[in-house]
Amino acid sequence: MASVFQDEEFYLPAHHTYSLLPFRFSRLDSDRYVAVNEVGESQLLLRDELELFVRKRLSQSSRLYYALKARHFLEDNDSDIAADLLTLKVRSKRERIARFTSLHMFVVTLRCNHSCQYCQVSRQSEDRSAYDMTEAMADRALDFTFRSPSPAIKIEFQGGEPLLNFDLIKYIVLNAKRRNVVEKRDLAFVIATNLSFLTDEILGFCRDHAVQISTSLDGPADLHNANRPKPGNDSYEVTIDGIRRAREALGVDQVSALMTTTKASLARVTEIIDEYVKQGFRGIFLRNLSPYGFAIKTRYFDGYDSDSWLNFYRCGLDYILQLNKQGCSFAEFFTTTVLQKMLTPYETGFVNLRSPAGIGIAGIIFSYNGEVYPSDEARMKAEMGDKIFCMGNLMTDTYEQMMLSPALLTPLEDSFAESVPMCEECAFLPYCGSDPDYHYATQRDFVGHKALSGFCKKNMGVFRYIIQKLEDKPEERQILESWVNW
Amino acid sequence: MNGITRDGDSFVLLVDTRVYSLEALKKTAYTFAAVTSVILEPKTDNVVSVLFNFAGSHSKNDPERVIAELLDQDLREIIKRETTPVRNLILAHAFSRSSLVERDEA
Repeated sequence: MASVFQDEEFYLPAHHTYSLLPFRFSRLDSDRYVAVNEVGESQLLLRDELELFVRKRLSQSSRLYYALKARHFLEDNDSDIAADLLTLKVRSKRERIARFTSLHMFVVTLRCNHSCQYCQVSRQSEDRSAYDMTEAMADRALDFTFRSPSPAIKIEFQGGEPLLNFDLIKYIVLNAKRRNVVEKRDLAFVIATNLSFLTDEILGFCRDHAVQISTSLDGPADLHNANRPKPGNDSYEVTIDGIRRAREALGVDQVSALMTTTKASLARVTEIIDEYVKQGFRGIFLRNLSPYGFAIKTRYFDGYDSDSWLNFYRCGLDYILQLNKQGCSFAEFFTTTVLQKMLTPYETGFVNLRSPAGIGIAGIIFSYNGEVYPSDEARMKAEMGDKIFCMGNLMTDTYEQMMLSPALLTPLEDSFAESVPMCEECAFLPYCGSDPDYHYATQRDFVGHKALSGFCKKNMGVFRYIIQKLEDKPEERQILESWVNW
Repeated sequence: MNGITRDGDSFVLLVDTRVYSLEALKKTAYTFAAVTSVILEPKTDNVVSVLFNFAGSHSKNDPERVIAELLDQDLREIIKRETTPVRNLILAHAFSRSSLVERDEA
């Protein structure tokens, strides 16, 4: 029977056409391309479809046309609201820039009882008080901290082993809280510690002042102890006992752990994940080694390349997804960060996935000697003798002098990925960021040649793998979507 | 594209710049910088010779990969040409009510 209606094309506007809205595209795999707009919304296309779309020959009644229109890749006669919507989303995505520096790291001492080969800090022996921050420096650091306009201030204590100078931690916490009576910021504290010197007194103070604990756990006992040697060779046992005591005193959610991937870790990703599951953690950050500080001197950084780490990451993510399918609720935290960028209108606080870079304007670090650096990696570099990122000294320079110093502004200005060769046309730009520290360490250039960049290779490998899972594996997509608000 | 000449690990593309821009060619060369050295040389007013030397990582598909990248760069130029004004407008509008933009005093 003949239809009483005309064909669909009949009802389209007489001069139907469309305009492209800004987007970038990259190859996803051998057959497919991924197009991503200014705010991270994506659409997969075959090469022919991409060509048809860009050359304005895509049928306006096709499913792909509606998908592209819904995600603001085009604007047509029917609707001109896409640009306005994109504007609102861009504003949400970039909101963090205006909030400015939130994370303030205090290196209260450089002394440490561990001698980890991969350690990014050139540690000093425990008994050299010359490597402790003083109260006078801490006061100036707090002055600096509260100059930030950020409504949320996180103070992180680092080392060395910060518990070796716990008296100064107490001094800083109490003074920060006193200042905050007037400042009324959302104030948080965390101690990054190996837990060796944890006492009931310390735990009591942490409980009374809501100080969180972050520690290192590299995997099963033999791997952890090999990575993190200390007198007695019992770092694993001390860490596990410390985690238990800290959880009992502070609550399970107040204690977190970080792992570092060494060459010895590469073949053991499932064992490492099993260790985190066994210890009751809700997730793991499969963190690669960074080319900074002592890790360079000991050549630990040369232990593996980006491809090896990517293989480690992919195996780990597959295993974690398998655990989830079996009912174990567990996440990989680098993936959760990327998913937040891919699937929400908001930007994450992750320093190394921001453009402009997060150096100085997301986090800042006060070294034990009063020197100020725009990132933890920058002060590690300084410990090895290269002070290119040194913004000044708390005891001699003003806030304005340090925040406007070329040591910060030059790499920061160079770090707009939107203006960087290869990045400016990369589909993954809204998910990625800039890392001037990494590129200076590996190429002696704040921007770096992205075709030669391990940072670029690693991130693109992760983005592609996650997108393939989201697109091709519905069951895994469901699990990954649940990680967005982990 | 006027032609491809292969020579061991190297090959030469002759490119008509009325079809593909010099910028697209240079961006293509930049993308392959990790695995090849590139020499661009003008031949006539409109033709450029591009020598790709893939020494050490030769693959018989290298010319196809390079040409596919050149086609992608060409497509990117179209998108950039059409969307740069609206992209700038969106960014300007997005930041217009933030404290990040200094306003001129009236």
